[in-house]
Amino acid sequence: MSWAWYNYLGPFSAALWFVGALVVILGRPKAGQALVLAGALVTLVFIVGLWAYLGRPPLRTMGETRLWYSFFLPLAGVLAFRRWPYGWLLIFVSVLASVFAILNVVRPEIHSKALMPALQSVFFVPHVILYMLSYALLAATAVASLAQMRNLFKTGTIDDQLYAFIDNAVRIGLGLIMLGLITGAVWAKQAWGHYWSWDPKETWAFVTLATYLAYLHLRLDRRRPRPGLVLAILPLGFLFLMITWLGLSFLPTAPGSVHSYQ
Amino acid sequence: MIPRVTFLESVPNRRPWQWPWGYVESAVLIGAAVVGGFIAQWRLGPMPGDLLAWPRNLIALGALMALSLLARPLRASKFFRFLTSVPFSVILICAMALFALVMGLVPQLAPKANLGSVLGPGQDSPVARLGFLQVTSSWPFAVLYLMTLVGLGATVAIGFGFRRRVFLLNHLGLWLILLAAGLGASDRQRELMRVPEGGVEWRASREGEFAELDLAIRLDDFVMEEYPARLALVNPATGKPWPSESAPALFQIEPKSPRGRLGGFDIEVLQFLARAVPVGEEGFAGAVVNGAVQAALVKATDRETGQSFEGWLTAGNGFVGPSSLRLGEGGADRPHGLVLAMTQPEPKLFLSKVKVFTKDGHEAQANVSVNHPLRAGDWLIYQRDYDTSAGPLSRWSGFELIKDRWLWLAYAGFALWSMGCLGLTMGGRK
Repeated sequence: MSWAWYNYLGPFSAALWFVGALVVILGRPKAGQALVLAGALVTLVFIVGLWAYLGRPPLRTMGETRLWYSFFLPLAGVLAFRRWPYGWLLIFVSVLASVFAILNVVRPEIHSKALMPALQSVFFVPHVILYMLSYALLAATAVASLAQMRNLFKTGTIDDQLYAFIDNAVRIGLGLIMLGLITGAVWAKQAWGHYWSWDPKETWAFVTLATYLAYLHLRLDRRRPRPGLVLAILPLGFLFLMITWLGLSFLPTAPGSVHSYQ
Repeated sequence: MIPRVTFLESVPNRRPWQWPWGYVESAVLIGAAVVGGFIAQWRLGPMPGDLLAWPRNLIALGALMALSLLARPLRASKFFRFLTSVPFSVILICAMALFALVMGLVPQLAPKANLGSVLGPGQDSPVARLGFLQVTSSWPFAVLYLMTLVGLGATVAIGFGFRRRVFLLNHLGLWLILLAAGLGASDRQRELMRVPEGGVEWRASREGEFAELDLAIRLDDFVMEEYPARLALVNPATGKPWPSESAPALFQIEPKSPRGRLGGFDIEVLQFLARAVPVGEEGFAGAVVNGAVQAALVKATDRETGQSFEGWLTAGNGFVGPSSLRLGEGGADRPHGLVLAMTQPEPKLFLSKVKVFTKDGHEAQANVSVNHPLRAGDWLIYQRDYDTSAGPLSRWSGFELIKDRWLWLAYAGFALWSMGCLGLTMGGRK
């Protein structure tokens, strides 16, 4: 299944997500979840087909990692929704997954078959998948924290259930992001000789990680310091995360990175 | 129900520096330590590379362990309660993140590079003198690192116990990694070695000079495989890729699916030869010999005019010149027409068949390739590079040799930390 297939499957899954979100708004959460999952399934079918076609895991180019993101995001959204039934959660993951699907259709990257020797490793697949999974979760926490901040500033009240969702998602997302980092470190020792070299990608991953660690620790403070400020850490962390993932090539430090793959 | 927010303060109306200390006090103390670090940096220059060389790092490790162990019986003391408090950790984490932000925005020099020789006359700029170009070997960073090691160590010692295992695995794992990475930095040895095919080398090259090592490498064979090349459109007037250098139009040659599109052309790869030599005027024939190139017979059809062009393409190498295909005279949007060319193929695998001899009599014969280093005594031997202008014909292979005696400690840390991460991921909190 080559990329040409995605010109049809991409918009199809985006349509499923869009309708799914609409159905949730209209008060049919069960049907909405099913539609959102169906969209993820279509994406998964394409990923598997592309994998077979390329003869390697489709995890190397930006376009390929976007595919995984639009697969995991709805999945994480539905799982979280079953536990914390916020409609906006499903709408948010649907919109974001659709954006990435559409991006892949209108801005196809150069999809080269070549997998450079450094990427031929058993760590490759778990490393990228762990990160994609954590990115999906942490994206949801950024939006949830904005919702909580709105509660706080508009009414001076706080939704405890929403806090439970945010804190759990941060814990799980952080666990996954650190597992991604550990697989990356052990892999780096195999491929480049050292487990941590402060490569620009590693440096920004550290900034991202530290930001979420700060949130996690601040929430342990029983004195509950400045809730608005603490919540604001999550969108900031997501900004750093986006710089690490997508924005790195625009920074002056990028040319030195060994993480830049076309 | 949504309850109203209550701001809990353990000590109401606490004045600055009244116990227990919080975020402001932590920020002032950590800030003061960092300023001290900057003063040291300004006056002393970067940290000497051998500051923590063996056995000084062992002594430092002992001191850190002792201090941490001391924290347990003294956990009720003000000092250790502050050191392991949430405010102190949070400010420390934020300070570390700020230094990492500097590293992420200001291009860094190699930690052991000599500033004077790299920067030339401009080396006295305040940015350089404050260590912002080599953050990881600057005094303020070291001060933060040390405070992190002390705080984390005390936190682990005080929280030690099975009931808090997720906390423990995460903090202890991270602590061990930071110990191994920081204290082991001075002992870590990294050498480069270039071995000619058929030859033996025992000297490492250090910026033009050679240093004898305690092991020798014999290169029996250097093997390289390449992926099929890509086809590109080139503007003949400039010699640059079309439509632009940053986003060139490319067609991946794929024997399984020989047809596709490139720019405004239908492309068909009629024949692809992974190893070929030129035959006659413009032809190629398959041949597994030294100096063979990738070659393809390609047909390109202009989708607007229906005009077809056919010819052999190769990117060439040291023996065979490149060969491309002119695609007509062009139209209004590209007045010079276009040329279809093949790109240099990308490496799929490069591997050195070596035999390694160490001074104490060990011998090992193995293949070294990217992602598959070879262990010889304390050394790990990595495949690094080769003569890229010669590609598969390279007459030498470049190796990187790394010795890190503290690696086992880092791996122990990674093992514990990964279990802690699993614990975080699995165990949700109400």
